[in-house]
Amino acid sequence: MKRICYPFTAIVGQDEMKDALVLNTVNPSIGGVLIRGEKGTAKSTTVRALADLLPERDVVEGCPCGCSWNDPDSACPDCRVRIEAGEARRASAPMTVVELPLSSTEDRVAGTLDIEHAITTGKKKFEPGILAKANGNILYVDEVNLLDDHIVDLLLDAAAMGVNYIEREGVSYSHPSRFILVGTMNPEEGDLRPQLLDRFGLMVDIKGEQDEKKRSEIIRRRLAFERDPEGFSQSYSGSNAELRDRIVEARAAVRDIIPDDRTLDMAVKISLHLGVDGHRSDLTLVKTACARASLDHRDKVTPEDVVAVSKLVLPHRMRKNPFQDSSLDVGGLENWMKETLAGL
Amino acid sequence: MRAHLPLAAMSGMEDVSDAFQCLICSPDVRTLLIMGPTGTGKSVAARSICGFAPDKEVIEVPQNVTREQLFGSVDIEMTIREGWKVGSESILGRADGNILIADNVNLLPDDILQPLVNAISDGIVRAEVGGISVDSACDSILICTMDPAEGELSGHMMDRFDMCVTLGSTEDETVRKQIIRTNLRYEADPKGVQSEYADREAAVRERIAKARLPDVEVSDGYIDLISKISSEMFVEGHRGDLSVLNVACALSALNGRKHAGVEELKEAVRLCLQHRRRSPPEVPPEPPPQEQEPPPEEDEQDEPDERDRDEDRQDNEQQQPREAPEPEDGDEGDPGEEPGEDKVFAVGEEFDVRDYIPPESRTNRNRKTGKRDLSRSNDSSGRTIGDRIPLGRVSDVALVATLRAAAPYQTVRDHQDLAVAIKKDDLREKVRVRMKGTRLLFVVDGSGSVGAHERMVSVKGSILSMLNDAYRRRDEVGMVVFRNMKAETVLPMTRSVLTAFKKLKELPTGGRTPLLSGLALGYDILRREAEAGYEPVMVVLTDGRGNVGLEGGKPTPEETEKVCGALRESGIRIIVIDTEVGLLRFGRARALSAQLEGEYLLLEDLNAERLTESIRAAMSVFDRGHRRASALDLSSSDTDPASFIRASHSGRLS
Repeated sequence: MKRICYPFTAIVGQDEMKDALVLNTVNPSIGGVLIRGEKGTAKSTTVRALADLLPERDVVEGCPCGCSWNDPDSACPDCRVRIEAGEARRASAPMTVVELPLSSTEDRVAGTLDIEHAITTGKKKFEPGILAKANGNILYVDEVNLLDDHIVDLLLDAAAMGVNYIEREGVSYSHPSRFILVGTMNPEEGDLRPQLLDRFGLMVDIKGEQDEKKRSEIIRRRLAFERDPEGFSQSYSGSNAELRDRIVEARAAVRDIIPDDRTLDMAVKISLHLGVDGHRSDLTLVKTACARASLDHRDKVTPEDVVAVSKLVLPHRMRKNPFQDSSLDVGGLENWMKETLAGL
Repeated sequence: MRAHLPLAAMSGMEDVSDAFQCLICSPDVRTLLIMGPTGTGKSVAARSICGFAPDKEVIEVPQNVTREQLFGSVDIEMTIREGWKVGSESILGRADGNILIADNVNLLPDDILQPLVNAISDGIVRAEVGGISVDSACDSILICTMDPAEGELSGHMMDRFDMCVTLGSTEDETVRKQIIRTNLRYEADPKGVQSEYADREAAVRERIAKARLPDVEVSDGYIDLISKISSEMFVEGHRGDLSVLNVACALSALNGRKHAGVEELKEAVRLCLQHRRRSPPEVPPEPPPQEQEPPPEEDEQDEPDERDRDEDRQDNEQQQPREAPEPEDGDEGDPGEEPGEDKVFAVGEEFDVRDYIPPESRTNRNRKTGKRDLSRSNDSSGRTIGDRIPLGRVSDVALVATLRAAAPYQTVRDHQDLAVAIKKDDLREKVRVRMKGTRLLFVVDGSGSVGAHERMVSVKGSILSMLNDAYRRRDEVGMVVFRNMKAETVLPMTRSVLTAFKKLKELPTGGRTPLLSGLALGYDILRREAEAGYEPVMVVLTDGRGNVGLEGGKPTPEETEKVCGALRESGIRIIVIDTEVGLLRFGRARALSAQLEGEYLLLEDLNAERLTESIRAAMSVFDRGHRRASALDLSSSDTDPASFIRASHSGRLS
């Protein structure tokens, strides 16, 4: 039996983290979320709850790479053969959270030669790795800052291209690997290279809830859930369904949102003002702003959306060197943004 | 044709476009490096080349590519079936006539990158199949990308690239907005955007098809001009000259010329020589200050420029030749030592530090910049780089290599219902390397003497610079400070450089100098690291004027030798950075480094910019001597560079 998951809408507080995750489900190309903060702040619960809430996907039946039914062009070589031969069948698969353990080896992450197959049959076959399993799902990397650099490089290359290329052990293969990357880290245990930080679309800093009322509410709900998981989940099924519908609608609607010049202006001005390297921040600001607008059932994105999402997009891109604290000067920036908004 | 964002849809890609056309049009132009910070479109641009050459296959070289996969090995399946060694398909085997793309090449291991680039630029692939090497021609194009902030390639590697284009992000708001629009549109409808630019890509293809490279004539004067430009730009070696000539010819052919043109030459110089350029050797570096002669009083600024320094020196020499010397003996009350009065100095200006840590062993001398230490690991962690016949008991079996070894004998072995019969002799084990940052411990003199002349400001600036360097290289850092009567661990070993910086900012200065206690504490900390299998480094920042011994009294020679001896034996690499300043120098830090058998540096020498010149001067002397000795002497003055290019060029074209 499937274990019952703590409902997403029952999670108290941590609004930034929830927003960042939901925005990514609307447009996965935003590039994932990096969650910085202490242990025991419901990071993994939230991510699991989100996956549980999302609708099932249409996939090619039996594909170990989770190829999407609706995108035959980017399917893996095996699926392409099956689709062309008319043998492929459609199936539904729930969103899952694929975890990448710290001890993962390159072979496990990227995939490699299927040794068992080679030994038992003497023939070559590709054995998919974590990047294949993650396709279409959420890839959750706890303590991403402690992962070996070369593994992180693999992850981010796949995340950036949406394809995992394997050239190992006599196997030459490629398969789609599009996923929502969620990484967590405790900054006191070490930093991530700035180049890797930039590859994460959004970042949130989280703390344990400070408000006493909220804290006791967290405990109360947790106890209620543990006492009667089914009943507890039932009582949130309405709000969960509502959020699911909102996400599904927003996914469809966000494609039709075309940002106007003022919105682009705001994004560009913010990046230039803060002296952020490269163009990734501009693009992420606009994409995230569009996702926000569509979640609010609006068909137009505004400069205000850009301002609202900037606190998720920018903090981790600000550091010129590791010794500046990466938090923004919130007050000063807000004033500057207000002025700039007025001037647009 | 693969899905790609057309190059014409991206802004600021004119150089990339020309470079692509040269690659496709000329068989002598084969390699291109695209550099730039993160998020400037390097990878996307690299892949857009397929729009110019749809008949060529684009082959990705992933980060985790193995050597066998690149160069070929024994094909297991075929070998089992045939009973003799059959070579496997390799990336370079498939590359003939096609395009290879490798991202983040500065993060690739040396034993992958070097042979890869060499194979493409020489046009020959050497495949090793079960002990037999087979050479085959390989006419392909290699496009690499890298972010120099993540580590640079050696000058030798850079020279191997025919062309190099550096991308940046623009400050122009209109262009930036256009970039966002293009990206959003491409994401929503890749095919639509591609077809929009189909005409422009077709036009480029036609231009390439029309180019008649063999018809382009090159005059003698043209070649003389190239070698003149090269030497004026301080380009070393002749590979750059040849690249310029080949690219200039390709561009001229693309422009429909019958003669290699001047405009084309200008562009070729930009594409081919920028990355090979070395800054000119300017004034010879100053010799290190002699111990007897009072050195000039230094400005407290971190890096006064060369001219200021010279003026300072003159002033000093005129005005104050022999002023009242500071107290002779550091043991008795150092100048500026104000017991009881602690000061917290600001952190001085930051700079790029030179590569100041000596390599841990000879085998690592050829390592590329980037992460400092690459060590063979004996357990099953780290990245697999190959396999070997096991040395003892096998625990980390390289299954694929084992299968490969067993494959040729399958037709003759007794299978007993098995698909593959493996014998003990077939077993292979994995060879792994573990990338690890260095363990760096800063042992900082916080006594009053370092506080004198605001010296601590520069010291802190230098530590900051080294911390920044450590951060880039993923080193673990720690900090010990000795002042007043004792040494204390301000920061235990950590990967969080940020914490280190916070501690540095708060670091107080003042009091006496318990140098030996500092060294002893550092020894204790690093010995543990050494026992854990790391090869730690101790960076001691001091003027060496210790005046408090281990027992709180004056330091005795016996004590000193005890501590130094332990450190010498420990295998800890030690660098003593001399912070001494002032008119009269005692040279104690130099003596200390000698006793520790460590490296010795002046604080100022850490600054990469200031030191590069003197290193380069030393290197060029070394290089000259070295190259003379080699048979293929290209750089000595008796070979006229122009005639060399001419000979090579005619050899290639005729």
